[in-house]
Amino acid sequence: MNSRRSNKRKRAAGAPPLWLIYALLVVPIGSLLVFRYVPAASALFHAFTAWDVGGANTFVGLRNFIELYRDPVFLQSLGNLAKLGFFSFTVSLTVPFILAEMIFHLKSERWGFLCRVAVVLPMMVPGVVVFMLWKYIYSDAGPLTELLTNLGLDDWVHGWLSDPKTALLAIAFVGFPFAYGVHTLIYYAGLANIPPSVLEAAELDGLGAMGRILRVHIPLILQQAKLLVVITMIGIVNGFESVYILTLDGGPYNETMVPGLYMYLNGFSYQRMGYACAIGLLMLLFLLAFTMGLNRLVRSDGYDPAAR
Amino acid sequence: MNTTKKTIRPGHAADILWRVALCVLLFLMFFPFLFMVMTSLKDTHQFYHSFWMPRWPLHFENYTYSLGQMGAYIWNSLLVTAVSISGILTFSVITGFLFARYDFPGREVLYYGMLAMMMVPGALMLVPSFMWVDRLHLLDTYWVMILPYIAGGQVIGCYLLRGFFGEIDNELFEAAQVDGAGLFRQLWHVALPLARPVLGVVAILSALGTWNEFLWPLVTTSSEDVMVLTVGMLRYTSRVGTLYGKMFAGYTISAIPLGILFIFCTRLFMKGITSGALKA
Repeated sequence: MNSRRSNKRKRAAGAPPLWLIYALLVVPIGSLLVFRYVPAASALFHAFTAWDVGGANTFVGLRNFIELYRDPVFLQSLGNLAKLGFFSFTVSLTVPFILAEMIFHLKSERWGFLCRVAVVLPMMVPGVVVFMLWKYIYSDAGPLTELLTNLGLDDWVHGWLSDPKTALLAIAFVGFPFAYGVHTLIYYAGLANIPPSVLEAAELDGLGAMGRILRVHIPLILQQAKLLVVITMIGIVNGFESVYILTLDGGPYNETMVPGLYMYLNGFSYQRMGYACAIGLLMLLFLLAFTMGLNRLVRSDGYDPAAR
Repeated sequence: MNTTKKTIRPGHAADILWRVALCVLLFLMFFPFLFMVMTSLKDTHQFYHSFWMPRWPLHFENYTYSLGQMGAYIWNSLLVTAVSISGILTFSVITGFLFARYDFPGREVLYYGMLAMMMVPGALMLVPSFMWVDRLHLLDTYWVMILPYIAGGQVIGCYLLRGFFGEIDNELFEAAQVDGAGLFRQLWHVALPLARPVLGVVAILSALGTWNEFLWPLVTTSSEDVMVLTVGMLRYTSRVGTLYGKMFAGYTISAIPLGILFIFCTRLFMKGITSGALKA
């Protein structure tokens, strides 16, 4: 009732005719339908089919999922993702936080700004190129080999990416020291949003630097941390560009295979598109469940700096 | 005076420790890029004889070589990015403005229907999207990149602009209306001039997204005529083999376009990065 009245009032105030509004929306929303909704619906549908390159397209029910459940490569890729994810979760939530704290503690406004600019600078380099750089770093002619040789540790030199024992670890260390710009800036925004009165009160209570960080800063930037957890998780589950660039096919012996890459390979190398769609669907469902679970776990009530 | 930081005075041991740690962290972070730029100016002989240190003379011909090799890729990337950004800005201004200012049947459904697509990452739809654009006969054209980029990129823009337009004081628009300004003139003369910083943020987010896009152009383009820089880098890398100076000159060049953008809009850039993250 209420909304209808306000609706009428806006209309009476000379709102454009409805047909004009819809006509303007047709192209933007149409493009979204064509290039996002159609593929999404197609993925949903084809996850339950055997979709081969010839276009043969038979409904197979849950067979793709049952096969995935027994597919050793897929299971291995899940294990790798769990290991990689655990590692990259830990470092990409902690290192940027430490960095943000360091920048926050800088006394000089100008240095603080310069540091924040510096943290963002590596984003100018396309992700693909960063991964290529790391591929080079691990290569025979790269700085890692050179450094070990210079230090007299020749025995340690080996093909980091081709040895099944170290390949996954090498992938995990791409991006060292993990001082990600976006993460750092988001943490910093959280810290900068803490009211000075709160910080002063903490100091009057005699909290030391560590105490302030643990008991004041961290509780007050939970909202930012939650956001980062979601971003990081989406990045981990979707991200297989690094593996694609560094080992191409998840080798050696699928030691670096991740579900995203396995989906890609099934779709574009093994010509098993239905199977690939099933993997994509599982990944999407996992992300949705994770985000919802997290939202339920960390409620956004209480002090919320992001809401100001 | 700021009392909160009194315990850490300049010259204080803890302060120095913080700064040293900060410098070490930043150095490690920058090391691959410093190494990249340094090596990009060496020839093969210098590379093998002085691995860690810069060596004179600087070999700028590495850059002319790789510009010659990658010029076409860069041009394609610039073209795709520029057209995509224009489309994204146009679409998100229209949708953001309509959703924010007017009430019409189906508004909420359409709006949340758009936002829902932010939850579905494009990578998960790689395979069906590819099959679909193949059926639309778009493979190996600029459009196969531009159209999906616009369709997907407008969503975050619509979200940011709807929020911004919704907060503009209604009186401004009413005053324009009294003067006889219709929808388009209100949009053009009232809303857009105010929205410039938000438009900048949307443009920068879109630039980052489209410029760095790798997997989509990798699977949908194979002809050199339309190939963008990210995919072209793969070919370039295998072409130069172990000519590391040339390889790193190419890598360095790939960072220059966004670098220029960054120099001219540093603050907007940093604002854009965090507001883009907020879409999650």
